[in-house]
Amino acid sequence: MHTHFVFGEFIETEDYVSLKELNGILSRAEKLRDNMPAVGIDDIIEILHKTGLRWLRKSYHLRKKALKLMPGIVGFSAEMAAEAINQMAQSLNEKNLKRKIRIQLRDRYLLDKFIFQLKERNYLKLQSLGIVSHISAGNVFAGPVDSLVQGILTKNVNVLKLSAADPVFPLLFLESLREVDKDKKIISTIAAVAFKGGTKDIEKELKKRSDCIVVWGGDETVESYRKELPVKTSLIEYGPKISFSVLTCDGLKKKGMPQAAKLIAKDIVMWEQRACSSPQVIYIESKCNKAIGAFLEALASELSAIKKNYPYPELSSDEKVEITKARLISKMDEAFGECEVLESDKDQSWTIVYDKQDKEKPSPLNRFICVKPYDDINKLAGKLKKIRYYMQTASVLANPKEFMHIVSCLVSSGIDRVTEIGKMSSGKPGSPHDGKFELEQLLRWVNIESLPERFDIMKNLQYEEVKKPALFHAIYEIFDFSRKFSPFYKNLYKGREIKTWDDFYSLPVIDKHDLYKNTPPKRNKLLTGSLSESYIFSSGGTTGAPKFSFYTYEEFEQVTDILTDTYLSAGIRNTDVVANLFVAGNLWASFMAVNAALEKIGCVTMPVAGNSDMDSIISFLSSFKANAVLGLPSIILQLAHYIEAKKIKNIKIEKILYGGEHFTVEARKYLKKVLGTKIIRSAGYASVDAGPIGYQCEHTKDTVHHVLSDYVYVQIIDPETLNPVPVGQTGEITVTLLKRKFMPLIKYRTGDSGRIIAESCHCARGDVLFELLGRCDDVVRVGSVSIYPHEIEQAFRDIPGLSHIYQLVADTKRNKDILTVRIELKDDRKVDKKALSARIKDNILKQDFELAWVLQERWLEDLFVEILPPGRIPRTGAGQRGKVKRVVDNRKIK
Amino acid sequence: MHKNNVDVLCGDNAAFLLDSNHDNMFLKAMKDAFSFHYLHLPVYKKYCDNYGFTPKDLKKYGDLNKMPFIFVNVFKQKKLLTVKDKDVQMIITSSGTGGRKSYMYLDNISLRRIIKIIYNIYNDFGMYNRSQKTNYLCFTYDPLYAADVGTAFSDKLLATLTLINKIYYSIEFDKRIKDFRLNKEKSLKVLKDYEQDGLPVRILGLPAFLYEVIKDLGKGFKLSRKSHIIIGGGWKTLKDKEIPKDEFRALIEEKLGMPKENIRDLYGLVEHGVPYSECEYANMHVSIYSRVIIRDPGTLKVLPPGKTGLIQLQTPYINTIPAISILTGDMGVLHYDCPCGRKSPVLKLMGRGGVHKHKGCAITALDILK
Repeated sequence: MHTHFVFGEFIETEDYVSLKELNGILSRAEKLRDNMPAVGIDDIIEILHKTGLRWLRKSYHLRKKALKLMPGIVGFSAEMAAEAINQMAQSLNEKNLKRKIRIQLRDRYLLDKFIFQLKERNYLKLQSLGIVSHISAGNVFAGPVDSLVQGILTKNVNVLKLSAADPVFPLLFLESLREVDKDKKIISTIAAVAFKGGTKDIEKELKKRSDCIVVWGGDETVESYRKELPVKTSLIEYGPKISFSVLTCDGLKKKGMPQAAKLIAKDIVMWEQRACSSPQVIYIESKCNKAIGAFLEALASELSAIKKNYPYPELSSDEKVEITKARLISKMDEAFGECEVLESDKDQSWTIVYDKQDKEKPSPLNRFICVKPYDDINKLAGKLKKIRYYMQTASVLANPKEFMHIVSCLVSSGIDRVTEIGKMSSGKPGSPHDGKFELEQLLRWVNIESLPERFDIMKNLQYEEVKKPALFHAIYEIFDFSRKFSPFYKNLYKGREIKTWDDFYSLPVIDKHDLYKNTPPKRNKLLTGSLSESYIFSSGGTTGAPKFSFYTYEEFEQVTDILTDTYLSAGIRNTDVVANLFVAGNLWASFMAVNAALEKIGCVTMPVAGNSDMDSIISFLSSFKANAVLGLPSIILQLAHYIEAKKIKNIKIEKILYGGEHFTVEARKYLKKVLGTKIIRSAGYASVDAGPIGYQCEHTKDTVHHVLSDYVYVQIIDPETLNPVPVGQTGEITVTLLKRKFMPLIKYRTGDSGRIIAESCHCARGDVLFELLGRCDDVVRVGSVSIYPHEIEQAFRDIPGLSHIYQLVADTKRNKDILTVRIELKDDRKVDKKALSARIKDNILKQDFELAWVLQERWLEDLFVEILPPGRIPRTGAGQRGKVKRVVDNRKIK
Repeated sequence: MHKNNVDVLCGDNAAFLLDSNHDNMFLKAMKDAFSFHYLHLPVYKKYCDNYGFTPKDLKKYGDLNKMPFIFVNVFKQKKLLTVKDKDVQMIITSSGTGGRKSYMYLDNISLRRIIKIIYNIYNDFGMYNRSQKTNYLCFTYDPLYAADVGTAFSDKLLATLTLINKIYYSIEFDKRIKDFRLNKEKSLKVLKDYEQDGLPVRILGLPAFLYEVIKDLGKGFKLSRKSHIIIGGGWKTLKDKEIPKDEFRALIEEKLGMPKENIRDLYGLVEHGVPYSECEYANMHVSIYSRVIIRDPGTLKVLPPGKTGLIQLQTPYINTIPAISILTGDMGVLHYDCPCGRKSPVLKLMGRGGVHKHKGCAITALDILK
């Protein structure tokens, strides 16, 4: 009886599949190839990830079944079988899959769509080959599953030949995949069939009708698939391999004998030496002399001890014969004085042959290790060249000075992979296998070259994907992910489900207080994991506790990609010389993000930093003829003032991209006059918490931006009722970040007010337009810093005679910001206003170092404190009872 | 001249009478042989010393199980010669199945003994009659070109069991391709000729070649009822063509017109020499000149009759190399219930032990270098 899996269904047959049946399967595969269901790579990763999680559960029924069946089938102990299952399941972990794709294929979304390549200036996509047939080898436990997963990740139609030796595990895996993949996104494209190996007509048909054959196995199998392979079919070979260890005296000394022996014993025991990465020989430097004996003893005792964790498996009688033969032959060699044999007493659970004369010895595997001395690594490498094609892994224990020399010798003799000792069996996800990036071989790169205007075609190609169902799906994904992995959201969304847009609208909003209360260093409730492989950025609060934002490296990389797009659409080109005048230091994000983005554009990047000395800035700009700057408006204005004042003629800044605040109409005119600027655009609307939100194109003006709709969902809400407002109406901008999983923000209030613009842009980018209309809360940005009234209030709250009625007024003078703090006296009593205002100013600057700094740097032109008699600050509404506006901004930005 | 214990054993013609008397003779002979090799071959002495069993430990029959054994492949790799090179009369090789050649060295003493052993064994089977005129067809290498090949030697020896009338070696040396080749047409012609002669026919050699010649015969032959077939050595390189034993015997009976009781397969190793020949019931018998011990392939413990394991062979006749106690890579099982009535255990072969292909994706250096 044979079980097969045919595109989602299990079927049983009396015999192996016949040629006719296989042809039927291949016909279905061809139909699928021509009409492959559109499944996104993230969906595929999720399904595999969930499947992997199941296998990791001790109580999972298929795991239990596998643990019962597999030891008998493959000759592993139950412990080793569990280890193999764990490794298989770990490899399916989302992080590992993404890492693998990132390393091997750059960007996983290349598997979904054409993506513009910033440096190469073309579009790329990764297209599946079509039908991939996997010829799985006997007894390589999780090998067939690994092969299949690669076929799945690359969106191929997969046909797997079940090996006669282990027709069980791949089917168990497919069963678990079927449990997870309820919509049959993946399993409908997979067939796993049993046919007799070496059946010529079946093999011929497979070769003819597959686009690619992946063959695992011995030389004979590989050769039989090479033979008469049609030109159109590619062949990927994973033939048998041999691995070993190289130890030097210094390496051993440094590591310590017991520790080295322990790690090497682990390498020997894993997969019972049957993996291509298992060591069969340990080469040890001959000048180690006496240490060699000690090493052999230590290794012997570790090989005895390791049985506790990894019991010796029940081998087949034939395997036992091999060990018996090898031991007996070695013992005669021992009588000849050629070697020494150490072996376990009562069983065959380990054998060490110290082969002094370096003769080729039988290697029956299953914990049978040969130790050989070597004099000179060059000679050893020369000798190993004989088996060059078969070489795979070498673990090297050496001192740092010797290490690279040894590695380069081994590489020249054919080694593909070098590891530390103890790590031979555990491959790092994404590392090449047998010298190749496996995923790439199952794909073809498709490119579109020479496009004059990228975004037009971009949207034509991809517009379908940003339509509402896809957007809702993306929102749901992040919602679902957050409530699973973030305790904050778990609590926030208790009992909630989102099935419709209305469900989403009714979710609670969150604000910065929620964010800062629930993230480190206070506590970690909101993040979906612990801090590893991530950036910590400070949002640079003016006073009080600093506020932090967290990005994984992958997420930060994504941000810099977005900024690259943003700057390109704002007008930066690779022919520009661009000075980055954002401020560096203090955990600030902008400066380094800008550098990374500029690098991707391919222009000349000058990481000047706006907080440098002005003379230096000027000298850099003029020396290298910078024609574009990015930075905060106040700094750029200060630069202009300086240039004007010093009558510097040779600096012309054609393009200015600003962020953090806005230029007034006057300032724009001034810049055009003084710097000869032609383009002044936003460097994007972003906040440190939320990251990039909007960008400008050549048609957007002032504070109008496009929504970065692939990255963020923007919603305008009424700040009072918190309900969404109709299109066109002003409200508070809230964002839902579609791709930030580490610090998810869902319906996060930015504190900025704005409105959606109903009209579409002339640029045809398709991303919705919105207009920024300042802050909602009482905050004013002057001289590049945010000033919160309640923080200013602390500077005079305790001074007797002053009321609590005050106002912050922002103005411009010579295009630079001025902040005036107006405070009313309690009554008409006489006070020394001059002294009082000086004292308060002093207080403010003492408590707010950032404000003091920008004042000193003259990004803020001046700070005034006005003491006024009662009632002198204008009220809104009815007379004296009206409200005092906390913040008045007299600067004209439109 | 004083006859030593080994010669006494080899000269005893009760070839299959394994009683306590013969066990005792065997023990004495083995003691002599063991001491001889131990004393004259230092590396063998070292091997036994390492093993922890030397001639002084071999006291009673039951101790034979404890004697050191050498894995048979060792003789393919190492020259372990107890006697002087000049004493070696003949070196026999066997191509074997694993690639490397096996060697057997025979001096006058060993040669004399093995000839006696073979005559005694076949005499017991009624197949030894030096006056019986017989026509021979040998499916072996023409000894003119391959005298030292094991099968050629043993067939040459087996051809002396009766009086040769005519003899034909069917695997001829083809000078054009400089290799041996089965001459099928000539073989059929020879058979036709032998049929007409009416004399008993002896067919010797590799079964695959015999099969090759007779498989397509439309009408068969009617050979003398007194004809015998002695085959051995297995199917070797033609393993994939091997057909079940019963089928093969029936085919021979049909195509050659001779009783299938007269078809005798044999198991033998060039390093060992003693044949384990089939009786009229097609069971391979152990003779008094050697012992078969079955061992667990992993623990190497001695297994009782009925249990399959690695075959160990002991014989004292070999004077040249310490192959007096060897472990083979073949699997077998012993039992004692042959209807032929001989008081000797029956060896049933259970195939070759060991793996041709390792599990997993590892390959060994030796496999690569093959």
